[in-house]
Amino acid sequence: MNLYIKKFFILLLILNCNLSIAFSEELFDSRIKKISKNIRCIICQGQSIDDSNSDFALDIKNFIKIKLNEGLSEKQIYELLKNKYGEWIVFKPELNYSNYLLWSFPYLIFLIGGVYIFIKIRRKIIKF
Amino acid sequence: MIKKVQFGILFLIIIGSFYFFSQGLRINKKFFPDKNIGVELSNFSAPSIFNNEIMITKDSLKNKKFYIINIWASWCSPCREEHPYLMKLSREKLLKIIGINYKDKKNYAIKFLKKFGNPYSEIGIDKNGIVSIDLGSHGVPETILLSEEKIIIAKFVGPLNKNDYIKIIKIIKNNESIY
Amino acid sequence: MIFGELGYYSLIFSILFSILLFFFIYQDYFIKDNKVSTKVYSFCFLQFFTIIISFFSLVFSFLLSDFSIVAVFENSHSSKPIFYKFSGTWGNHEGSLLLWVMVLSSFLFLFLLNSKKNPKKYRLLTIFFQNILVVGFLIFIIKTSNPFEKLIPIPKEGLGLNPILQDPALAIHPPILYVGYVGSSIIFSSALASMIVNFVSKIWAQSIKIWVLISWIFLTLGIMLGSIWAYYELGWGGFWFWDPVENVSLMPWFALTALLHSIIILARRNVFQSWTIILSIITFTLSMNGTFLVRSGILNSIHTFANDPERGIFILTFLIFLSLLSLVIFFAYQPQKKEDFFFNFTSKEMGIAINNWFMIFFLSAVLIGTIYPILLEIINGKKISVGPPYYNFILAPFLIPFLIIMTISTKVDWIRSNINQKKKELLFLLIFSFLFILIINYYSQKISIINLLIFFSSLFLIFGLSKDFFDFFKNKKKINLSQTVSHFGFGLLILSIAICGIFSKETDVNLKVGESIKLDNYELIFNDLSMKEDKNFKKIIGTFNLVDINGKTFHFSPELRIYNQPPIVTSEANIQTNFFKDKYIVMNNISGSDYYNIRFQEKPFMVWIWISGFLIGLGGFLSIALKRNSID
Repeated sequence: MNLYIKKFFILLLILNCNLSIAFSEELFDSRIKKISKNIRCIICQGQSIDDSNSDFALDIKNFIKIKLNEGLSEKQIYELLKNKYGEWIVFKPELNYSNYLLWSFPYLIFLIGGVYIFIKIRRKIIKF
Repeated sequence: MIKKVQFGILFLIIIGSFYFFSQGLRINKKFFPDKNIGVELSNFSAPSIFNNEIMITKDSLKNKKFYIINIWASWCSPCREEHPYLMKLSREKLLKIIGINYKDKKNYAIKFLKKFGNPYSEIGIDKNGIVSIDLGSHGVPETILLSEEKIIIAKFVGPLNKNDYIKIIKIIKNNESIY
Repeated sequence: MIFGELGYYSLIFSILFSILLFFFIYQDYFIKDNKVSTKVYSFCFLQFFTIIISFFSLVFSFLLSDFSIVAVFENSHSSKPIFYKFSGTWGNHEGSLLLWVMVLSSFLFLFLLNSKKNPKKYRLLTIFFQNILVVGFLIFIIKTSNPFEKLIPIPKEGLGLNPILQDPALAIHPPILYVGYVGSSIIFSSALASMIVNFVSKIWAQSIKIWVLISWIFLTLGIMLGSIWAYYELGWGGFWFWDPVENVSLMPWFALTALLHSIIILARRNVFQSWTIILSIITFTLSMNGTFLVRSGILNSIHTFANDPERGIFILTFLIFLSLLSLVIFFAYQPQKKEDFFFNFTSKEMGIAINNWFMIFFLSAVLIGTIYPILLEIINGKKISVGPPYYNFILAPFLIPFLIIMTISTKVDWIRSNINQKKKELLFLLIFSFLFILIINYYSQKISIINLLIFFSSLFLIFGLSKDFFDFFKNKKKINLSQTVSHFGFGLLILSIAICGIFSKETDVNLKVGESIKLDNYELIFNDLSMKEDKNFKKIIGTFNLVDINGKTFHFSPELRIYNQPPIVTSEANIQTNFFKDKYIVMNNISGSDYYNIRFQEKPFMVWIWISGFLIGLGGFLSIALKRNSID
């Protein structure tokens, strides 16, 4: 009985995975939106290009549109904008040498926390 | 012993944070990064306001020791405020000023220049803001000061004021660059 | 007017009384009896009273539009509606600090009155440390942020309050948030005090628990109100932006939530003593750190207050002083370990330990994300942005195990649990949740694995707790109602945010009056544009018809508001809410043309985000209200 249930679930899982594979085609508009959400409106103090209605934001949106039409990839557009305005125009910080602390710190803390709990609990469970 | 080590480490972290943040307070909190100072101007291309067939590009910056690219529009009131300084600057023999007319109507732009004077040797039209983006600008008005080799010496975001004017004159007169 | 003088001199007197309070505390400390001396009581009261007078003097100055006072001049206008004149009191740096110190002092006095059952020395020491905080802030206010600074000659009219701040949710957001922040101050003081007199124990936790609860409830509600305001007011349809000022309120919340859980354990048995103390110190330190970050000019954010390095240095120094003080006391008076610490792996204690572990992780992610740009700029002048993509990437995956463990932990017992009994129930829940996400996945095939798992784990929690509710109401089985409500709220919060985030639709169109456009399931018609005058602004109202596929018409009227004092144009979205989704229309004029940029958003399940937030707070409230009946 248990075995059948297991098989059933595996089947469901496989079926689901096939359906889950995201369609690789995205609408052009949603590409612009995706990029816009990751670009900072640098005269707006915190808004993304997508959220802002300032002239600058509209210009950048237009710029993205044109560059996408020219066939540039998302990454290339980010690079272009970073060259003109600095790294901070992009909301997602790069994964590079100077940002290693940023990306690793939370995981380090998690690891340290885990180790600490593990050590403490182990001692007590042995006692128990 | 281990307690002392722990104490020491935490103590250092706290004192270190104090140092860091007090340093942080002293940093100039200007919102706009001087990203391109010292970098060569990227190329751009804008149709001339007087003749669509002619393109104003980076190559239009020639024959002078210093160049200014000024992004302006007739509908922008700070542009009106800074215009007198541009007029004064246009009399500098070593300087060539190029205007980029941003999201404007041609006849309004020309009317503006007729009324307040024309400091520009050439004017390019930026109909949809792309030229400004190519120049790495944030809006209007914005003024970029370039050297003979077309390297960006200074960027002025917002209208030029007296201090900015004086700064530009100083650079031109002394033939000095900031970097 | 007289209120300016009254307010200022009351502050001076409160400093005086506070310094005298130190003296009387010291004096009473060595008197060996069980009663705190009446002198201490009196001076606590005098401190509290003079600060209240000062605060209300400022309030009256605003209400009466006394423009001889700088703060009133800069932040108010005679045409402002009365409610916003009132809330203008704390809508500026100086006033908000006065509010802050008023809450500090209130908590000091309230603590004194409500701690009669506790040892005398502990009470005196707690008040002592709290008084240090009060005095520190009072001096800060007098020296750098005097709300009663005068203006000569007296201007006829004020500069006005930023119209974005004229909103009911935002008006009450600071007081509520401050009770949360500042509430953690009394926990801090009490933690230091209890270390010194060796009072860190079950009994201490039981007495301090209510303060933790109050602080936590208000902080939760305060953060919620801020988000609600952002959603309804800011016109972008977002409610959380990982903006530094937001993060700065979220960090103490993580610490406070961890503390709340730890204190629940410590209130039952003597475990996690040192850790609870550490959390108490960290929570308040984070609150103070937040104050520093948003008022010193070190951050660029959409709602930083004053950008004044002098203030920054003061707060920073004070903060470092408090940190060092805590450090020294902690190492000098390490909480004694009379621990009855043993529990099994499958126990509530373990669940809470894991909760703390995850909370610290979340906290460290938000901390480094907020501070890193500052650090980097100081070190090498590089400017980077850390925005939503970073936080989503780091935090989202960890929510999955967090929610699952949360569900299991609420169902196990203290100390130890026979997991075999629970296995059947948990397995059933697992399967049920799994089927649900299969259905979701079938319905919309573009969801990533992580998002599916988030759905799975939040549903797991919701179903698990629903079963508990069911047991409670139908079978009268005894459950911890407050815990169940809060945790259910949290699961619902994550689920709503996930649904809203994944299934939201957004369309941007440019329309002129009279034009219409076909969207996915709707037709949008730009009917009309009209202009009206209101109290202190002119408004341009756009009327729209949104027709769905069944022909049903919805009427929208977003506005553009043109204020003159100060001259600002704001965009007011028109949001139509129901339990299934929000429809959101906002318009913005395209400069120099007749066209308006119209943004139409459909946000499913939006209102459930607010409901779940309030459920979380409600659970805390229930915990206080039902205190007499259950032993937690």
